[in-house]
Amino acid sequence: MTKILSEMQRAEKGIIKQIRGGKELLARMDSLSLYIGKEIELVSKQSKRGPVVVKLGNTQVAIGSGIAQKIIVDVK
Amino acid sequence: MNILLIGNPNVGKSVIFNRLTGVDVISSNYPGTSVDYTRGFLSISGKRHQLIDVPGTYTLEPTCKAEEIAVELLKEGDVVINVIDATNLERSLNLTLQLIKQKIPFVAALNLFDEAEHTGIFIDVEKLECILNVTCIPTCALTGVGISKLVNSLEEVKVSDFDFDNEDRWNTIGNILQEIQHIKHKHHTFLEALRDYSIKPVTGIPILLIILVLMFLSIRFVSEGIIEHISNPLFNSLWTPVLGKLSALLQNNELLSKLLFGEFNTVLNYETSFGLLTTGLYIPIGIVLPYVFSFYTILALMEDSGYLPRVAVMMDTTMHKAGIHGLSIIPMLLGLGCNVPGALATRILETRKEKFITATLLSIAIPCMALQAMLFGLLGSYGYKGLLIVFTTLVIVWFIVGNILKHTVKGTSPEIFMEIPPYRLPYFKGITKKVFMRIKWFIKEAIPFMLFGVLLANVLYAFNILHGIEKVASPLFVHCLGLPKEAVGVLILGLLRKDLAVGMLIPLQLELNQLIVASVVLAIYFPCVATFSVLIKELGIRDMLKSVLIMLITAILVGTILNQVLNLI
Repeated sequence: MTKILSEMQRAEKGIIKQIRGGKELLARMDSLSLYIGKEIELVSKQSKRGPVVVKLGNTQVAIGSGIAQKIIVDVK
Repeated sequence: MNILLIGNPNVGKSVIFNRLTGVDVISSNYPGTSVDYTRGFLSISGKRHQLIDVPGTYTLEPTCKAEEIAVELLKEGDVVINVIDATNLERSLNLTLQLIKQKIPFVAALNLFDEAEHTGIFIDVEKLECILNVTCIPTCALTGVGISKLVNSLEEVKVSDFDFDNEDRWNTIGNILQEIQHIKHKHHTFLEALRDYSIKPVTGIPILLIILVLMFLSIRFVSEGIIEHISNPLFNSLWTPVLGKLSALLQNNELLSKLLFGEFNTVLNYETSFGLLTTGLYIPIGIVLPYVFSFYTILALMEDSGYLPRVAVMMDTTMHKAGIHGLSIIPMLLGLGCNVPGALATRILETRKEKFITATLLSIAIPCMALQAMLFGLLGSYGYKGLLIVFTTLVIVWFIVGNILKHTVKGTSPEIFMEIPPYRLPYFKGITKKVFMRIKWFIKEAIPFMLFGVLLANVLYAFNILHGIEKVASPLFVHCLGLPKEAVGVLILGLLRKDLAVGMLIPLQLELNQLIVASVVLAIYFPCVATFSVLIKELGIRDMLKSVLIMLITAILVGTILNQVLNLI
């Protein structure tokens, strides 16, 4: 099942399927090793419009809600 | 030879730099501590080489300012030390492969190697050397393991001949990892559990509030303890006798003794006498320094543990109300110690809008420790009421001004997008070094301004220079702010040092309400000369003038309203 990252539930795992953004966003995501095919887990969500925190491998990354809406995840 | 230290943010480049050169650079546990670069020297078998600590970068295709600097510096380097985070090989190797693609000669330091093993990550270093065909050395910069080996390896640095398809980089990395990395699954450690609880809103926000309250209480407790048990006894038993002897020597020179000792008749009052050797030294060293010390010690614990980026995430939604994102909390928190490091930290922000708003709010509503220390002394004697009103007013002003700026300042505020480092136990040497550097810096900046301020105060009053200005400004002060016209001098000297200005309020014998208004206006109207000069560099003169205009208008408006409201109650 695919979901937008900002709509994932806590502790849900999935694989990044698509990033709906321009070259710049793709480059920034890539630099933090958020690429298509990467497995991530949602650690926490702040308020409705707040940032999400995802776990990838051994690190965690905070992603603003606007960016999180552009990431499509294949949820397990 | 120019040697560059290149690696992802927060992998310990600055600690390795300290080890190699002996030059102190502040390092903390969050990305972006070194947005600027530092140069130092190290010698390898008798020859001196320059070492450059390059700001952390994830990629050689820059996506932000710090990364642009990194790529620009790459042109200057002859060889590179690629600092790799052993706990996070995948992301680190991404940069390593980019160095390989550009045919840059390097050696790899696998830093945090011990931490990786603790978390159950085992790396076959020899195999990695075989695959990449460059020297790879496991290091632990904090304890110094591997550092001398790293230095020796610099005598022979080669270009890797590892070949791969750049489009398929992540797959290539995946394949390398399968061969060299072995992960043993471990049970959740205490730090990992803390990592989760401290960022979930349900548990994270109460934890944040508890930490802030504890921070506030312990700063006051420790500082007041130092003042009462160390600085006051020292001044009274050691310094007062010296001053007594000096004043006996200078008995005939009235002007000089007034300048050095101030109003010093029978009993010496360090706070109100206003001499260069009395108040001029007592305020910065006797009162403010204990607060600066305890504040930066506690902040250093938070920085090195890795808690600050979590605060940034949790505060993100709140900060957005002022048009800035969570990361701006870092300059604000640093500014609570002294606005100057806070102003310098605005560099971690990317756009002009973010920088402008953060710098303006920092100057308006974040009182530095020097001002706070004096306010605790002045208003604290009336109980908590005065302090509560002053701080609540500043919080409200922060939100209102922030919200107005959010809608009026042109430009964009990007969203938060940052790595959150793992928790690490702060290490004693790192904390003491950082606190020591910041205190040294405080003393170097604060004391000259303080002495100049006291001198200026004496000159202004001795020659009655303020008289004219007081006359012009008196309608504003008396009618709008409810303050006596003598407060003009306080605000003029507050441009130099706010702690000095509060000290000048004491002899005016104001009522509590007047003290509250004066304190709030003093906090808002202007940062201080030192912060101002840093902000000119960071924002440019035009934006800084705009910012100052906002500060002045805010100060007058808030002061006037507060005066009216307080009189009604």
